[in-house]
Amino acid sequence: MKTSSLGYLIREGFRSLWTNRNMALASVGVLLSCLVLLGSAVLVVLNINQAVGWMESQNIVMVYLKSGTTQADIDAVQSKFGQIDNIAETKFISKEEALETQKKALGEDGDLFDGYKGENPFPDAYQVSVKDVERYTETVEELRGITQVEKVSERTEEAETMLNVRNTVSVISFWVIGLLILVALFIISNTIKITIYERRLEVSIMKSVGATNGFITMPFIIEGMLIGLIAGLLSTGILWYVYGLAADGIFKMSAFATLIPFSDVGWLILLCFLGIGMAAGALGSFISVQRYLRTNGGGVYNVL
Amino acid sequence: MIEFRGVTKTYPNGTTALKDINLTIEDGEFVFIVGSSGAGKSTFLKLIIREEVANAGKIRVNGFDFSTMKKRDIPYMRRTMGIVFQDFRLIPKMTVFDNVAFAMRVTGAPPRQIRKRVSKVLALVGLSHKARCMPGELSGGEQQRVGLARAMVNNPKMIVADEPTGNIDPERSFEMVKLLSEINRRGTTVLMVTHEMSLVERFDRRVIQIDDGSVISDTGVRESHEDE
Repeated sequence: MKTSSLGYLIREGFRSLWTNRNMALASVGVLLSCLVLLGSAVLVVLNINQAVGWMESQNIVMVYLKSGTTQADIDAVQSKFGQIDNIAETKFISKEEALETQKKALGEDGDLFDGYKGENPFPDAYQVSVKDVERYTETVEELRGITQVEKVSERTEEAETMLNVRNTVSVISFWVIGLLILVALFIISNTIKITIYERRLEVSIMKSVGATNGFITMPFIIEGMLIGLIAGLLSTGILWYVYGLAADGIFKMSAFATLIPFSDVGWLILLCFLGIGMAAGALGSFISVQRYLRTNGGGVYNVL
Repeated sequence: MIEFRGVTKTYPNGTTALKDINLTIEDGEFVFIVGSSGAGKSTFLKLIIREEVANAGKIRVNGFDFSTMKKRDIPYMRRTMGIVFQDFRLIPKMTVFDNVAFAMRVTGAPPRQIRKRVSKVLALVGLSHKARCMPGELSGGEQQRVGLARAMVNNPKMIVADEPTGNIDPERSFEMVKLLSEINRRGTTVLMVTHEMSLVERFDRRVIQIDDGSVISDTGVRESHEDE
């Protein structure tokens, strides 16, 4: 395509978008909703992944041994840990250490333990880190199977809840976003259909003077891509703002809970939104124009 | 050159618009296609511009053999002709200049060439002074001259005029045919479809009469101006 033609086609695309701005606005709205939902789902999944990752790194299972364990028992437990492949590392905490830790944690009230008069109420224990949180339950069961183990304090439920939320969000958002993309394509396609209808005289003249279908299609594709571009930019802005509010709200609820900073993923989201928006715009326009050109309305004489 | 050999066109509703048409129009000729409403003139024209496809027979236009021509070549075939419509088909929101330039822009011509050529054809049809006017500000005759300028702007081998005088008064109609004759004198083939016999009779040109889908007469001057 010649440079002079390209400039002309781009100008035509902008002109058409402005002329048909009300319908274009509707298309931008639908596409924008779709992208904001998509972005929200992605951010939820990313944050859950981060939380699960944090849990994985913090996933410490406390394995309490039976009272009256000997050094031989402790060594036997240690060697059994070696047979469980999902254990990242272990740390032995003697009952004396446990007592000291609790005393320190209670501060001034630590002397409450003095009432035990030399008897230590804490058992010997192992602090075990799990490698793969997905195999958490299986690992806990293996730990329970060790003879010298009295009790295993587990965090299976939290880990499973997190994973369930992530999987549910992924599945629901996949279908909802898929559906919304179809709706967006339909709306864009209809917007372009109206544009074509308004410009049917021009299209018929183009056909009569020998414009190729590619040349006729191009301004409409550009119009669709502009719709996608606007929707992509606006949706990134909206998502940024809403995510900021959500992050503040969560921080107020718990100072320890933090979300991934938007700046870490913002550029990627913007690029993806622009790509998806412009591709959806171009595809919606292409479908519409090709359909028009295939029918009688796309002829020289039969102007619908 | 236009060549029809045994051409028949039947529409899906069963109406046979043209039956076994055989004719040749040489380069540089000026031909009137006449006939009453529904005689088959429009179908004849639609076959020439490949808006419709014949059910039988062979058509060749300006070197393109329609039986072997690919769909993607239709735009290039149409660039060899300029079409003038009865209802002018000017874009109301564009100036006269832009309406004419539009036909060049869509074929990818560079802006400098467009400016030069549009000014030239507007001068030829006597509308240089109206270049900045909107179509709504022009009379019917002037609008049709803009349509003619647009048809000519890409320097086609042939002008196909479909009832170009149908919406203008008799005096302007005469001027329009004179203008087409002038264009023909410069070497462009002119094919004018009309039902106005009184107008046709004022010019000594080849006349092909179609009735009920058949050519019933083919009379008058057959020599092209290039041959004169």
